Amino acid sequence: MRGSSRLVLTAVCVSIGVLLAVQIRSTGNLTSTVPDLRTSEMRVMLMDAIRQNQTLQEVLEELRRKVRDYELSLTQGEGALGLLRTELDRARLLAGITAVSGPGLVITLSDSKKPPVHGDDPRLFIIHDEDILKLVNVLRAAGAEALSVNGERLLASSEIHCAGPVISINNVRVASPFVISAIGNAAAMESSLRMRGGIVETLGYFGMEIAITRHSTLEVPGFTRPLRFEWARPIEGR
Amino acid sequence: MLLPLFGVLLGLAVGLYGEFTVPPHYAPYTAVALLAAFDSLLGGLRAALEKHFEDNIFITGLLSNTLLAALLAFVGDRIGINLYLAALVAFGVRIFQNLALIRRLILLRIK
Repeated sequence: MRGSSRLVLTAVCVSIGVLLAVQIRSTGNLTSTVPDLRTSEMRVMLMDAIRQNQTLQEVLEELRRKVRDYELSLTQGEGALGLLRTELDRARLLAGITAVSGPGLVITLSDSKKPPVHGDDPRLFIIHDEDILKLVNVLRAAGAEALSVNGERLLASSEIHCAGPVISINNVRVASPFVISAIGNAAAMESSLRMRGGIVETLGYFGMEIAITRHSTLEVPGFTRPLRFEWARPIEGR
Repeated sequence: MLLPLFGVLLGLAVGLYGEFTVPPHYAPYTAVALLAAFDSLLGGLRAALEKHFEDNIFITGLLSNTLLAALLAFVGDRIGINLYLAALVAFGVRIFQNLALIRRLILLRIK
């Protein structure tokens, strides 16, 4: 065989090697994540069940104690007011209208800076309301107790909705970069975000920039504007 | 014969340690291109053993095979039929045929 033919064959061999390796890497990742996802999913479910059991036990304990306290203060006459005040503080905390602090995560998300490849849909490379919604959902599933996005506290009634080029949260428009603060178990929240096939991997695939930092104390602002129900009324006697 | 083998290893290393990945919806295209290249390679090997290897024929064959396969995949995508399967089958059959011929030629040479 002549020298030039040998070079040509070698060049083709190199390209075959590159193609083969790239193909294996591109499709190999996809298939290997499925069983991993299944096991980690089940692990999360088990953890959740255990945790739920624990909290229910604690709630039961607390309710029993509360009944005892009420009975006690009733017999003593005083102190009922104080109990009501602590109850009110608790209700405020649970409603999310007070600023709170505690350990947790700060997640910074910004749009992809990857140069768009010809033929790719550019909408895949910006952050959408659904991405934030999924992320918040994962955080809540991992036990986040207080959440804010760009300083907007998330309440039970908060919307995360597409509003043209920006996202509307509590009827306030916020835009990339999104800073999400979450108070809760930092390790649990971070690992559920970074789960294989999880949200960080999915967003990272499209080149979104995600930074997760753990904080030992972190402040989440309260919801400050007035809250009122126009339609819902409590049912008497319950 | 060692240089091409070395080339495959080099290419594998570059592909495995490089950052490049194929977007999932392009995977059929690269798979077909890979098969076309492999088919051409075996064809070239066979021609070399039969002592009528020509650079021009090899290169044009490789390019036309790859382009036609990609075109079939593309057209198939547009009209909703997995046309790249046609290229896949054709290349697959040819790869085995060429392999059989190469085996015979090498065995004859050893005798």
